[in-house]
Amino acid sequence: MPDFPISGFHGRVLVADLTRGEVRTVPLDPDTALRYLGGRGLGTRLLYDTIDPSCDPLGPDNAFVIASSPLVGSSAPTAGRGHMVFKSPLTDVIGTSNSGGTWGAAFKSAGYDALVVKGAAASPVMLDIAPGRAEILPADDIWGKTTHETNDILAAASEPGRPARVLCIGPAGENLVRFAAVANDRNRVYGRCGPGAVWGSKKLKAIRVRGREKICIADKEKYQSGHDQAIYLMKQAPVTKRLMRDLGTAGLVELINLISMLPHKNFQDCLHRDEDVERISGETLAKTLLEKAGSCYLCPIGCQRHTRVAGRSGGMESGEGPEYETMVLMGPLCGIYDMAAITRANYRANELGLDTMSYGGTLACAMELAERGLIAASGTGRGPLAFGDAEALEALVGMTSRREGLGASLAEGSYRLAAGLGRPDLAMTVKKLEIPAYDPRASFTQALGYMTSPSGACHLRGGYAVSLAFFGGAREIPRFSLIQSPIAIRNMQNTGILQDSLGVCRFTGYAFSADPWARMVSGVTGRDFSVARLEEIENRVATLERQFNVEAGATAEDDALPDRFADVPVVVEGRERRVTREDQERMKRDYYAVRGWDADGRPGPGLLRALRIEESRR
Amino acid sequence: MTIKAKFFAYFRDLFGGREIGVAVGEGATVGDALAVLCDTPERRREIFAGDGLKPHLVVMLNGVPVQSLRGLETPLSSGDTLAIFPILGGG
Amino acid sequence: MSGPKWQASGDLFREFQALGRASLLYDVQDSHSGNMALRRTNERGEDEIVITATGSQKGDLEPSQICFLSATETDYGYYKASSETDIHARVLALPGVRASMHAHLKDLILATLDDAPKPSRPPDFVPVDPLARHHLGAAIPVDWFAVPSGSPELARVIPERLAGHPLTIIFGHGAMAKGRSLREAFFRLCVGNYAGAVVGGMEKLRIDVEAVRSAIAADPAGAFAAPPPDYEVEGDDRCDFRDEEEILREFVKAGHRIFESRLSPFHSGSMSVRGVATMLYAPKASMPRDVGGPLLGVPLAAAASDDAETALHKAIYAASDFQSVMHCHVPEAEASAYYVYPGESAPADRIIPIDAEGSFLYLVIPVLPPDAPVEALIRSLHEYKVAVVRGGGVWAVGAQSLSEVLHHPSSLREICHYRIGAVERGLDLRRMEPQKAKRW
Repeated sequence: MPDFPISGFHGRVLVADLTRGEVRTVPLDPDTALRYLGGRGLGTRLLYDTIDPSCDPLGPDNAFVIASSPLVGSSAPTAGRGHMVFKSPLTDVIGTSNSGGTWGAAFKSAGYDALVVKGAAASPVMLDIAPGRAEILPADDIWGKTTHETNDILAAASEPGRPARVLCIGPAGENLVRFAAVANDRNRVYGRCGPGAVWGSKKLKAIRVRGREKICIADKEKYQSGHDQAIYLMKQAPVTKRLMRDLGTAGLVELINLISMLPHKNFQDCLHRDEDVERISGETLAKTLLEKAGSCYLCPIGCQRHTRVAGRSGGMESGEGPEYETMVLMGPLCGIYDMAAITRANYRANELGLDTMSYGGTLACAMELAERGLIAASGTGRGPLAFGDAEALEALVGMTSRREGLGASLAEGSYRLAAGLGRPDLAMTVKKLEIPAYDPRASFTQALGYMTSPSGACHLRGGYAVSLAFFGGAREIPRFSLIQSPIAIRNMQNTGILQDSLGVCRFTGYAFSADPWARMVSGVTGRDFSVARLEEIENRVATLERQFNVEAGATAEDDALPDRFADVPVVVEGRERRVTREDQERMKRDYYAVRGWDADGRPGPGLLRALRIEESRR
Repeated sequence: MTIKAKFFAYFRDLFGGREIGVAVGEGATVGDALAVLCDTPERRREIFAGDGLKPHLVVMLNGVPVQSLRGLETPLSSGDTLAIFPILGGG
Repeated sequence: MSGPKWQASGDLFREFQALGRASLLYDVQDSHSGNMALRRTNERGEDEIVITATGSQKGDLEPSQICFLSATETDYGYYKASSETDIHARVLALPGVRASMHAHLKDLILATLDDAPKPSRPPDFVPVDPLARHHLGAAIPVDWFAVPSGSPELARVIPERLAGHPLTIIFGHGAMAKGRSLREAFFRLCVGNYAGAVVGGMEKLRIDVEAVRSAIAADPAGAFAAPPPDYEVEGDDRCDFRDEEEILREFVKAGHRIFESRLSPFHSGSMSVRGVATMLYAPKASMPRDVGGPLLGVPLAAAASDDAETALHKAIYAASDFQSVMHCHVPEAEASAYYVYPGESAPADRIIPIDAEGSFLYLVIPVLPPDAPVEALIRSLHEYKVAVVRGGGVWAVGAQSLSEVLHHPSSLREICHYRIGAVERGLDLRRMEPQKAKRW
């Protein structure tokens, strides 16, 4: 650490080649660190330098990168998140996924800035990382175990002051389910884009980290001024002050329904009965299932839900969740309002290492296909699948993880499922990633976000535009402005890139924007990271992600919503709204122009030079 | 005339229910209805800041935020639904 | 057969009513004072004067309180026309003048009070702000009158003054403005009051106003940033983006707020939102209810025909990712930009909030000199989101929406208000400012 010229970084990248069974440490290039920071920025650059974007995502030539950031290891609020970048086996474009908990902070304390894993082992392995020591160990005896079991077994190696934190896959990843997740700290998840399947294809079961390596803060006063301002603002803002702790993200259910944006039955409409919505609301969750709130590393917000629910056949089960996305995509999207069933299915998904969002989206698609007679049986022994079948919701989690019966088709994701039956138009995805729980017809800005997100339809990578008219008085944002959407969503996407590259949580955005981060990063590193410079980094990362996708074979045609959203309106504030193809085209072209890409959404060599994005070093 | 007031999050406890019918006179405004509902100092404190609404509050009339209409001056019609809740956010 | 003597309807009435209400909100009327008049050719081709009735509440005009008079004779009808009718009639006879307005501009009157024995001619009021300097001139006449209301002396002097100035001050009473329209007259009154408020703020801050005036006289061009655009009488109804309903609503609401919260005088300031190749632009950001102003859609690319205000908006967008820009003339900030700490010789380059909320939201707000290059302003806006240009108003930016930007000049007004009040109370600002702010 004293050797590396920039404070906040250890100056070391761990590279594991599972084909060769070797782990080595390579130095982090300071210039790269300055230009990409950490997390998503650094991870994308390292991935781009390691793999060919046109490779087979489930083959040995794919890699994944986990990167920490210069703020992790400081006291910056929520600075403990990890970011994982890989080529996605679900979407065939860049996979970029983020998780909270404590693993990210532990990884940084093990003495590394990033981890690159490439190749594939012949039999199950795990990585064990501590300061100055990184080993590949056999993992046959934990292969097949759930994420909880794996975590508990491996975390037993904890010592006082040096807790061992575990990142692992469950059976879903082992069985190469295309939307399998990677879980840390038991119930925190790198959920989207199928990183679990990438791990499974490499026969990597787990990564355990522990350490006590600290970082230096170069300019404590500057760091402290940013830190104090951030804490003060988080205590002021009502979202971060009280609401999240009271209701968790599920508190959004009633609100999103009120603004006519709550999805229903594979996005057929947004119509729900009030009494049904109440059954899955954050208020009801708080009253009936919540045991306590919980926090991730260094977070004062406390939105985690630690819950208990009655088992389907007696006894009590406990776990974490449901979050808003899970509650809705495994709920009303499937025609289900049974919170107990949703919660139990959520627990199973966490244990088996499955993304609840893509699972819900895929199941909803299957339900629609079944109601149209295209899927004969559910394989649950209870007759054909249909919207509203909460028992099938629970049963199919395990079957999907094990690729049994209908689960084998579900494991491919909704797009491949529907396309295989000749109806790709019934999969509600963008770039084969299932759409999150905000109907895009109720916000054109969000629609554009789904279309242009680098990872496919995502509200975290695509920009979170959900009517901030409600979230903090002054920040009213138009929902249906064609002229403003491209700039607005670009700015929201950039904010997300910054947060993902610093290892901090989206929810800090409810309290403040870039200024405190600029001061904290400048203070930690001792370099001038002005807001303008951070913007430069955000734009650099966004264009590099796009460049990766272009090389992976993505085109402008892929930046489009399914036909349903162009053809079938929903009613918002008394008016019919849909996202016409003309409006999609117009917003998309304007967005490309704002990003500096050509009319086909490709970054040109001039832009790559201007942003100082070097060619791949692979 | 009667309008419906719906409450969310901790406002349910504060106002004593999920949904309350409010009787107001003809030509009453959003501000008038809120004044009727805020009949204790504690309730007033959560909703009003001086003569206006507290900034971090969401008040919607039939699904439209009242700031997009005429704020507290927005006129009410019989059967309208007023939704009142503290600010939320999520993922 | 003559037409109605006292009933106004339609657009004419709405204009009087809206401006009357605006003048009340801007606190340049007390309950029954002030008056406004315009000259027009009516439906029958006659030259007539339309004027508010005496004793009417200008803030709450009713149709029966607007009087129609022949331009050549006064006529009293049911409500007596304004006691200042003669003055208005003579002002309206000046070439090019179609409107006249009288108001009690409290801040300007306060700034021109003195205790010298009268009768004597008080000194001209010399503005120290860019708006009044450009729109009202380097010196505004002040006259003392033994009978400062409805007197023949007034009727003789005021039109003379207004023949050579847009605005003239009646010592200890009020001011009168002429215009090509009622709006222009109102604009000039509001700018005049703003000028008085700036001087008042500076005096409370114990700034040597005379020294500032001397410096301006010595180098007028160097004392201010680029001059504001001239007042346009046409085009207030123009709206280029009716299809963008939500953004339109944002502009209208922001316009109301800027006027009502006195963040910028009537029809001054500017605000914009950018698209990909277009800029939605309001060149008169301060827009009271029912009065409005132009809402334009212009190309985002810089054009040779752009005035300095428009050009600066475009320059900010060209060099950043910001989505919205606002320029306001906040009198408290304009005054604060000249503040010199005791023991120092030059104005401070920053405003440091001493109030709790201000000091956490904004550690400091930079103050730039009038000749600061565009790049310096843009850099400040990047780091701080809001900056004050001495002699150039307040600039603020936002990443997402107009209502987000509005927060900045609004907070700044409060921050400056507390600083000014503290100095007025004899408190030591340095002791009240947070330590960390001084080194940032």
